[in-house]
Amino acid sequence: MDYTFPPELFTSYFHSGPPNSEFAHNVGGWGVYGQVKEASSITKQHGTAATLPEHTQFATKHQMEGETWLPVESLTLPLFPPKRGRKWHSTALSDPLDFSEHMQDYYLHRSQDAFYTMSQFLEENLHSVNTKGKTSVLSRTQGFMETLKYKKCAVTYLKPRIKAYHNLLSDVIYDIPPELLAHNLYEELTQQRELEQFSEVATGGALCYIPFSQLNNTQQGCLLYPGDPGLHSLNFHRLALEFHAEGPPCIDSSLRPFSFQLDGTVRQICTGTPQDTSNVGVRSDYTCGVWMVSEKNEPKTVEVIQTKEVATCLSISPHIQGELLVASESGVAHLWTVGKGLQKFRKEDSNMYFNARSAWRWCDFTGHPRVMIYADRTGVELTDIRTNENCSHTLFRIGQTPDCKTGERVIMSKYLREVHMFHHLITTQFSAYILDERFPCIPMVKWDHMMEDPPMFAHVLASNSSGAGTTKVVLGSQRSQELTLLQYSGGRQDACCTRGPPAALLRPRDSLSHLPAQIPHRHHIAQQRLALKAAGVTCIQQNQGARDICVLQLTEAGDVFYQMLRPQVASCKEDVTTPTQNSEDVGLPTSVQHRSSIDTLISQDMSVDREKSKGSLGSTSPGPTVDCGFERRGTDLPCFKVVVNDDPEETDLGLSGFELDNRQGVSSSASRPAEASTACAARPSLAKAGDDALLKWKIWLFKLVRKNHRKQRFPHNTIRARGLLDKSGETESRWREPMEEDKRDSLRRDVKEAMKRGKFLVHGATHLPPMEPVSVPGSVEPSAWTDDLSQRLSVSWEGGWKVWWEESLGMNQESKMQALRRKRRRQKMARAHNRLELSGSFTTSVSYQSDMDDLSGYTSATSQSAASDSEGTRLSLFSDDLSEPGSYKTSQMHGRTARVNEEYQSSLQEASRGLFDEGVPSAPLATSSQVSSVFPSQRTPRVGGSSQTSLSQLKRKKARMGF
Amino acid sequence: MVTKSDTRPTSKQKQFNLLTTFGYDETCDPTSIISNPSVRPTYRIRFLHMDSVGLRLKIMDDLTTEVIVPEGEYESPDEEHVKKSQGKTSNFPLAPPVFKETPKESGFHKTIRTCLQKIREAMLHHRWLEASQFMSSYCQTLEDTTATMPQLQSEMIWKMGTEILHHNPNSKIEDYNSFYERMKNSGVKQYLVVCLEHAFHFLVKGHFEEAKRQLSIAESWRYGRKSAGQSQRIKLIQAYKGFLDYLIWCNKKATLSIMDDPDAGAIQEMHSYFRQSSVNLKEVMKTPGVWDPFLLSYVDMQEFYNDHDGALKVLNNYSYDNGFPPNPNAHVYLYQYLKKHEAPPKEQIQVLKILHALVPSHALMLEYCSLLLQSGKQSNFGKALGVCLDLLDYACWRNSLDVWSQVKNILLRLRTSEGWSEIVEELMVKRKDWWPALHFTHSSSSKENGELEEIKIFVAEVLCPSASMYSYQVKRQSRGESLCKTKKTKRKRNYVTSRKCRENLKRKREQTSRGRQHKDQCV
Repeated sequence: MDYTFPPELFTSYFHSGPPNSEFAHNVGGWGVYGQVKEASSITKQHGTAATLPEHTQFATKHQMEGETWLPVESLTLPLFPPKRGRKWHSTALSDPLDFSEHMQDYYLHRSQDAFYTMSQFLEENLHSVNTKGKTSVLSRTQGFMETLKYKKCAVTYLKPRIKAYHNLLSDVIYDIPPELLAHNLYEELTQQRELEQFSEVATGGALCYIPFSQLNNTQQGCLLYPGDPGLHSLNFHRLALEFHAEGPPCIDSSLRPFSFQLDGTVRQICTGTPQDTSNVGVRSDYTCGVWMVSEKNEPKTVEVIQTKEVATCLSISPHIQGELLVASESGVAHLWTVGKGLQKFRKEDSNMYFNARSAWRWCDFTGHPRVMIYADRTGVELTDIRTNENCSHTLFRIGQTPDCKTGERVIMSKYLREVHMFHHLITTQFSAYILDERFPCIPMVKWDHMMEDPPMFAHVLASNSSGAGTTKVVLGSQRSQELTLLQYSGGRQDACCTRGPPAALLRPRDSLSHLPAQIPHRHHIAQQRLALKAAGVTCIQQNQGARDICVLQLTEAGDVFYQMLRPQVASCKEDVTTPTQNSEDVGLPTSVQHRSSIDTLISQDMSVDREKSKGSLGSTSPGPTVDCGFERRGTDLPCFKVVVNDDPEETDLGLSGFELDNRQGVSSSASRPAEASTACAARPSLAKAGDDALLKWKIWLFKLVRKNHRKQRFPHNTIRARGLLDKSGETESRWREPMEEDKRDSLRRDVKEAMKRGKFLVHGATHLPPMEPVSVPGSVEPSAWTDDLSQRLSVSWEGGWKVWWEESLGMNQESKMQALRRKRRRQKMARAHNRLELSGSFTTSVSYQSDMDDLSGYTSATSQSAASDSEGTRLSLFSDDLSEPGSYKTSQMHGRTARVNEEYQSSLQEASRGLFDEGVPSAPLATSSQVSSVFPSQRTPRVGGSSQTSLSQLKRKKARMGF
Repeated sequence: MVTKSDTRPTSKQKQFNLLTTFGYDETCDPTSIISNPSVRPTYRIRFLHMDSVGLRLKIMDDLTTEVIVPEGEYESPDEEHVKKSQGKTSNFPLAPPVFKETPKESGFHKTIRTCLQKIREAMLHHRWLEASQFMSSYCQTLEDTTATMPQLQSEMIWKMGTEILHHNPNSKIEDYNSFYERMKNSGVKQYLVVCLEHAFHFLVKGHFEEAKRQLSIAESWRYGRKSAGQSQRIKLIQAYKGFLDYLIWCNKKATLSIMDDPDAGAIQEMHSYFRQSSVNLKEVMKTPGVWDPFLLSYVDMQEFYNDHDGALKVLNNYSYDNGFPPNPNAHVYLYQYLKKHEAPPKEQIQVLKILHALVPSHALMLEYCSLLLQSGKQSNFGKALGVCLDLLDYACWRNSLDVWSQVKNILLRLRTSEGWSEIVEELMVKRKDWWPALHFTHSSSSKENGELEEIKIFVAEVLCPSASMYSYQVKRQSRGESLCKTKKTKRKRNYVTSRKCRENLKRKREQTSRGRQHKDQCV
C-alpha cells in the first residue's frame, strides 16, 4: 500500500548550502551505482539466520538492469492527416545581431511610418526649394531607398543631392531615433530568441488522453489536443486502441473530432483522475476553462475564468471533482472551485529561495486534498491552505543536498497520483527527481536525463497491477522534441531505485531520414513542419498487462505523432558458454587463456558488427539503425495495421500520385532487411516496419504539400499562359474518348504487373488497338552524294571528321610529310635488303625526288605511284613481318584519291601507334593492326571500285592464314 | 614506425590497452570510424605503446595538471560569486550546449567531439555494440595533452565505459577490475569515487572480501590537500567499511550463538569487528544525512552489548537534531526501540506525536491511536479522533475499514462524555467544506462494500450533518440492488441514448426528493 514508507532508505549526505558543482558534461547518468544497502534488511533485523556475509544480497540505488522497451517501428507515425499550418514558420533561431537588417527593412518597406512626421513638416519647404516642383519628398525618399536597396558602396553612389539632404536632415528626419530603435530591436530580438529556445508558457503540455472503457482488448478513449494553425481550437477526438495478444496493435482514429473554438492559444490541457465523467482543464494565456467529458455524452463547457496576468499553471484535483489550481505570473495561486469561483491561497512577489528573475509559478495537488504544491524556478513548497497564515515547508529546493548544479532551475513539477500517492516528479534542465512528500528535501530518486533541452512535458506510467515491473517516466522537451524514457521502482516496501539507463525515443524530426528521398522543395516543407517545437506528450497503456505503450507527441503545428513501444524479453540474451570460475585455478596461464577466449569472442562480435555498421552508417539510405545492442532479440516484429482516417477523395488522389513511389519504397525497404540478415542475424529487422508506415507517411506528406501549396507570387508580372499548352482540358477528354474505362484500368494493371516483375510491357500483350506499321526508309548510298557537305557528313559518320577537316584545310601537311619520309625510308631499306643493285640507288633518288615534290603539293603523284607500283606487289609478300599491311595495299591505288587515302592510312597508323591522343574520334582502338584492318574495309564504300584493295587484302589474309 | 605485430609479442606485461577492455579486435583499425587522417597515426601508435611505464607517465601528467589547474572544488565561495555575477545574463534555464565548438580546436578535438556525440547517441538508443566501437576510439582523448579538463575526459570515459561493460553479456569481473583500476589511476580527483563504485560492484556481484579490500585501499589513500567533498567521501568509505564489518560481526554472532562453549579467541575477534565497525559508523552519523542502514547496524550492536544509553542517544540524535533532515524512519526506529524495550507508553506516545506531525498518513498512526485510547484519558479521545480523521484525509486510507471503524468506536466512546460536540466541531470546522465532497458522494459510495457503507453512514450523520444526502443515496442503493445491476450492464454499453439518461435522472431526482420528505418526517 502507498502508506507504507520504505523501512530503510539509501544513505546520503544532507547539506543546506547552495549548489557548488558546475555542469560539466552530459554523460552523468551512466555507469554509477550511487549507493548500496542490504537488500533483505528485515530478515536480518530478526537476525536468526547466520548468513555468511558473502551471501548477503545488496541493492543499489541505481540498478543496471531495467526493462527494455523498443519502438516497434523505426520511425514515428502521424496519427491524423496534416492540418493547414501557419503561413510561415522557421526553426532557425533569430540572431539579435540582425537588428540592422530589420531596421533596413523597416525604412524600406515602412518608409511612410519611419519618416512620417518630418516628411509632413518638410514637404512644403522642400517643394518650394525644388525648382522643378514635380517630385515629392516621399518619392525622393523612395528613390533614396532604392539606391540603398542594392548593396553598393553607399559613399560612392550617393547622389550629391541626397548627400546634401542627409547632411541637413539626418538627425531630424526619423520618427524614432535610430539609436533607440536599434537598441530596442536588439532587446526584442534577444527576448524572441530566448522565447524560441524556451517558452515556459507551454509547460505541462497540451496533449491528454482520457481512457474510457476497455472491451475485448479494445481500449476506448478520448484524445484531447489543440488544432488549427495557432492552436486556437480544442479537439476531443475519440480513439479506439486495439491491443492484440500476438498481433500488432491498431489505432482507430476514424471518428470526427468534436471541436471548440477558443480565443487564445491553448497552452496546457490537464485531466483529473479518470472517472465516469472527467473534468478537463484548459489553459491559454489569459483564460482558463473546464470541460466535462464522459463516454456517453458530448463534451461540454462547464466554466471559464479570466486572469489579469498570464496564467502559468492549471491543475485539476485528483481528489475532489471540480477543484482546480491556477497560478499566474503575478505570483498568486488560486484554488478554483467550479461554481464557487477563485480563492487565493498564496502569493509570492519574489522567488522563494533566491532571486531567479523568473515570474513563472506552478501549482499542483498532493496526497492531502488541502495541501498544495507551490513552485517557482528555485524550489517547490508544500502549502497547507487550511490555515490562513502561510503555513508551508520545503519539498525541494535547488541546493547542495540533491547535488544540484550551478544555474539549475526547476522546470516543472508533477504529482504522480496514478503511480504513488505521495510521489512528485520534479524536473530541471539537468536532472529529474522523484520526491516523497513524507520525507521532503531529500530526493528519493535522481536521474541525469541527459536531454539537450529542458524537459517540460512528462507522462508517468504505473507499473502493472501486480506491483512488479518498473514505473516509467516519459520526459519530453520542447525545442529538440526529445523523448526520454526513465524507469524506477520501489517506494513502498523498498526504497526507490532507478532502473536501467535512460532511453531516447524516436522523434518526428528524424522520420524523414527513414523515408524514401523526397523532391527537394517537398523535403524542405516536410522538414520545416516536422522540426517544429513539441507541445505535449502523452502515453496510452493497456489497462491490464503492460504489453504495449503508445507514446503520442504533439507539435506546434497541431500534428500528433505516435510510436509504439514493446517490451523486450531479456531471456533471449546471448548465453556465452564460458568456463565457470573457480577460486583455485586463478593461475596465470589459465587466466590468460580465458582472457584470450573472451577476446576472440568479442572480436567475432565486433567483426560482425563492423560489417553491419558499414552497411548502416555508410549508406545514406534509411537503414535499420535501431540496434539491438548485445542482445539477440526477436527478429520478427510485426508491423501494425493502420486505419487511415481520410477523406475518400483525398486518399484516392494520394494513392494515385504515390503508388509508384511507394512501390519502390517498399521494395527497397524489403530488400534491406535481406542484406542486413546476411550481414548479421542478431540485428532485429526493425526497418521491416516499412509497408504500412511508409504508405501512411506518403499520404501524409502528399497532403502536407497540397495544404502548403499556394499560388506562387513571382516578383515580376506574369501573364496567364496556362491554357495555351495545357492538354489536360479538351485534349485529354478527346484522347480519352475512344478508350473505355475498363480498358484503361486493365492497361494500368498490366503496367503495374510488368513493373513489379521488372519486365517490358509488350504492345501485343495489351488490349490496345494494333499500331499502324511504319515503313522503313530506304538505305542511303553515300556515293550518290558527291558534294562537299555530304562527303564530310559521311566521313564524320564513320568517325573521320577531324581528319577530313585537317585534310581539307591542309593542316596535317607536316605530319604527312614525315610519315611519307618514314615510309620511303622503310621501302628503301627493304629494297636494299632485297637486292643490292645499282638500280636501288636510282630508286632512292626517285623517292627523294618525290619527297621534294611532296613539299610543293601533290604534283608528282603519278610518277611516284608508278615507281612504287612494282615494288608494292612484291613487297606485300612480306607485309606480315612489317606489320603495316595497310600502307602497302593502298599503295596500289591510282589517282589523287588513292594517294590521299594512302597518306591518311599511314598517318593514322602513326597516330594509333603513338599515343592515341591525335583525337581520332571513333578510333580508341587497341592495336595498330586492328586499326589498319578495320578502317580500309569501312572505307570501301566511299572509295568505290577499288578491287585491288580487296585483292591485296585477300592476299594478306591468305598469308595470315598460312600462319 | 612500429607496427602492431611488433608490439604484440612484447606485451607480456599487462598492457595499458583499453581497447581490449571494450572487446576491441586488434585486426581492425580503431580510428577508422573517426575521419581525421591528419592526427590519427601518431595517436594510435602512442596509444598502443602505453604499457605500465606509459601508465606511470600518464599518472605523472595527471598529477601535474592537478597541481596546476585546481578544480571547482577548491574555489572559495567568493570566487564563485564573482563568476556568477559576471556570467549569464539570460535567466532562462537552458542546459549549456553539449557539443560546443571551441574557437581554437584542432582536428583532433573536432574528432573527439564527433565521436562523443556518436557514443551518446548510440548509448541513448541502447545500441551498445556501436557505442563500444566508438568508445574504443574515444579512449584516445586521454592522450591529449592540450585538453583543458583532463579530469572531465577520464570521468566521462569511466561512466560511459562502465555502462557499456554492464550491457556487454561477455564482460567478466576481470574486465571490470582492469577497467576500474585504470580509471582510478587516470585521474586523481575521482580515485575515491571509482574505488567506492568498484567496491559496490564487488558487493553486487557477491565478492564480499574484494569489496572490503577495495574500501581499505580507498581509505588509506592520501593525496595533497583534501577538499570538502573528498573528506566526506572518505567518511562514507569508512562508514561502508564499518557496515561490512558489522555484517561480519553479525555472522560471527550467529555462529557463536549456535556453539555451546565458544572459545575466547572467536569472541575476541567478534569484539574487534564490533569496535572497528562502531567507530566508523558513529563517525559518519555525526554529520547530517540519511544513515538508515548504518544506524540500524549500530543500534543492533549497541543493543547486543547492552549499551542502551548509547543506542538511545544515537537514536534521539538522529531523530531530533535540527541539522538532520526530517526523516520519518528516524522516529519509527526510535519508537520501535522504545516499544521493544517496553518503555512507558507516555514516551512512546511522545515519539508518535512527533511522527504524526511529520507524516500524518503513516501506518503507525493506527498504533498511536490505540495507544491514546488505551491511556483512558478523556482528552486523548479527541486526539485519537483527530489522528484518525487525518488518516482519512489521505486517499490511501480513504476506503480503509479499520480506520473508519476506529472512528466509529471513538465517536461511540466520546458520545458518553460531556463536551464531545465541541471536540467534533473543532475537528470538523476545517473539513466541513470539502469532506462531504471527498467521502460522502455518490461516486465514492459506489465502490464500497456494505459494512463500510454502514459505518460511513453513521460517521456522516455524526460528523457532517450537512452531508446527510449521502446516507440516503447509499440506503437507496442498498435497497435497489437490482437497479445497480442494470446500471452496470448499461455501463458496458458504449452509448446510451440521451432519452434513457434523462429518464434515469428523472427517477433519481424523484427518489431523492422522496428521501428528503422522509427525513423531514423523521425530524
